[in-house]
Amino acid sequence: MSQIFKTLTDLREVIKDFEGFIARPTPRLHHPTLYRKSGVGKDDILIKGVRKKDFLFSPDEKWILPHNQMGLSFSVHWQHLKSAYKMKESRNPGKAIDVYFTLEKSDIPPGLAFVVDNDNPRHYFLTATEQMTVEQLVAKLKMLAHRMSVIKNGGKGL
Amino acid sequence: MITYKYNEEKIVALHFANRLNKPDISRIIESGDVKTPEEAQALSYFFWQMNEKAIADDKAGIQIPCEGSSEYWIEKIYNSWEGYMLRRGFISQWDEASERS
Repeated sequence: MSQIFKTLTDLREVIKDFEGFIARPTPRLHHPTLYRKSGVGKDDILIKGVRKKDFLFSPDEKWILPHNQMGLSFSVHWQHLKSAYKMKESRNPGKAIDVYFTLEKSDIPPGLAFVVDNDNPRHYFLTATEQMTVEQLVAKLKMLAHRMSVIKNGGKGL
Repeated sequence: MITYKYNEEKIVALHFANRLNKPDISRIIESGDVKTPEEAQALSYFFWQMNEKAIADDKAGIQIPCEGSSEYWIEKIYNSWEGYMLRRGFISQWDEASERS
């Protein structure tokens, strides 16, 4: 499913119809759950598209270990989403930022779970709940991305 | 008290309070507590000033005193400070600064 917004007010009107949304702003042509080098700071380390600091890696960096307060960041509250959007926009001047989202109750790949941030109920982590290889995590993240809906910024470049 | 998941968050926040010459903000961060609505407002607006400064510093090649990008750490600080403002009853100041910055 794909919808279009032109302003953040439009976005709010669209997203509020989806009770239990879990959303993530993503620059146009970037992947919603995996990174490429141009999508992170130059001092961030990527391993097969996964930002090293986002998940708990084994020392040999071949495995992802379960952790309930580490994972990809998602917004579950409008104000958090709006701020995450503004931060992403400020880092990507002139580029369209789209919003990918899923619903809290929707199926997600086994071994992954959305968990509320213990320190901020407006923020969720997409966590690994079991040990898996980095390749397995990447496959699951791709699977989840495939199931996500997108609200596209129609104000820039559509 | 402000709860950080990582010590680096506080180090990065203090780094930018220093870069922006904000001793009052440094004192709030060091104390780990916001005591008044005015302090909440000041810290909330500082967050967005810090975000802009970090982008400018990245362009200028000025590094932060921690491993990882300023973008990563500022996102972490956002989550920690917003959660604190919610608990402490200063979320209206936080949200207003986010709206206006």
